[in-house]
Amino acid sequence: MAGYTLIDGYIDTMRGQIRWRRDLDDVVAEMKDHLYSAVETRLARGLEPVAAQRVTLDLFGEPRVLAAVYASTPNGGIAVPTTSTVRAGLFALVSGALWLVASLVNVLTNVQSEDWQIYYAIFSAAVLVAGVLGIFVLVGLNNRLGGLGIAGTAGVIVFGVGVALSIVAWAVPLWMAVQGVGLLIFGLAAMRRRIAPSSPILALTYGPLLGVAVFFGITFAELGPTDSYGDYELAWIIGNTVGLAFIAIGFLGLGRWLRTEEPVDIDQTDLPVAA
Amino acid sequence: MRGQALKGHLDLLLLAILADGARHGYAIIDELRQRSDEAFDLPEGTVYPALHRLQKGGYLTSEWTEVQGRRRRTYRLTESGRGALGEQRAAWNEFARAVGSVLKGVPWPDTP
Repeated sequence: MAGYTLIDGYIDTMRGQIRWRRDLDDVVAEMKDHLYSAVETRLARGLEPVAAQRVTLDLFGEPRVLAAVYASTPNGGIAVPTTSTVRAGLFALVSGALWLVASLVNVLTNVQSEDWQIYYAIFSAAVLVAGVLGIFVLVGLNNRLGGLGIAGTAGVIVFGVGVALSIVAWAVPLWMAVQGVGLLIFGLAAMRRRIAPSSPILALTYGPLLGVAVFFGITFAELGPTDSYGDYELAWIIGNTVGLAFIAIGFLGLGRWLRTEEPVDIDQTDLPVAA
Repeated sequence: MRGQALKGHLDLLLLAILADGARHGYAIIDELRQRSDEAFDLPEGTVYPALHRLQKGGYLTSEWTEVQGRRRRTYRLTESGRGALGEQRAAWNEFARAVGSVLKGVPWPDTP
């Protein structure tokens, strides 16, 4: 098979423009098959190799325009990594680490009778800062996914209300339930886009509410001993830790993904009208 | 004819072309050009995301083969795609009939 310099250069450019796609190799292979087939057809009709390649590329479209079409979403947004989504990835990593700290400290707070006040202070600070960072992460993720519409906005707002409630850090089941509802709304919309890796999205979508369900399951089943407030210790240890750990896993996974993407420079004006 | 005229109709045209049998991307675009007498001038590359979207929606399936040392994806209409084609074709006919009724009897202006 002969190589075509202009076509190969174009394919390299396109590969760079749409490098964020998970099916990059398939998209490039399909593009290459089209371009080579078109050039071969024009050569068979008597065109010179360079002319055949130029006509083929002119008809196929500018890389910048095609990259925008490949990134367009059903609601007309552009789903590409940008410098702000990469920054959101850093926030996600820090947030995930803090949620992890919170899940470990939650156990210590409940099993250590001494120094519990220190652990509680660490826990309170960790969940609040992690939550605030989490809001920025969801906004960045919403942009990365090309905008999730009303569901995305509603999810961020409800999650934000849950973060505000976490000022009362000890009321874990309350604020985790509110955050969980926000993450459920956001996560279900994000899943439909099929762009973000599924494991962290699953952890964030269902994890917090699973933790709340475990908490109330243990409480209503009256499992294990109660503390001086009459609460079931296992509910606080297992239920809350499950929820916190899932949020940590979710944000860490998202951070790893968002942080490692290379930002590209495409905007709405690059979209052709027929796309 | 500008690509703008295709806005909202590209899916219907692609489904219609695949109704005659499985085709790979270049063959679909070539058929689109021939059947329309080269009337549509949208960038050919923009057809592929539309094909991928239709496949994601369950209207098409695709399979990979190797031809002349290159990987080639061939698309095929699904039952769901055939149903969508019928619905969209009916909607288009209704629209075209309505527009035709409005224009009927209106004298054509002189071509400048």
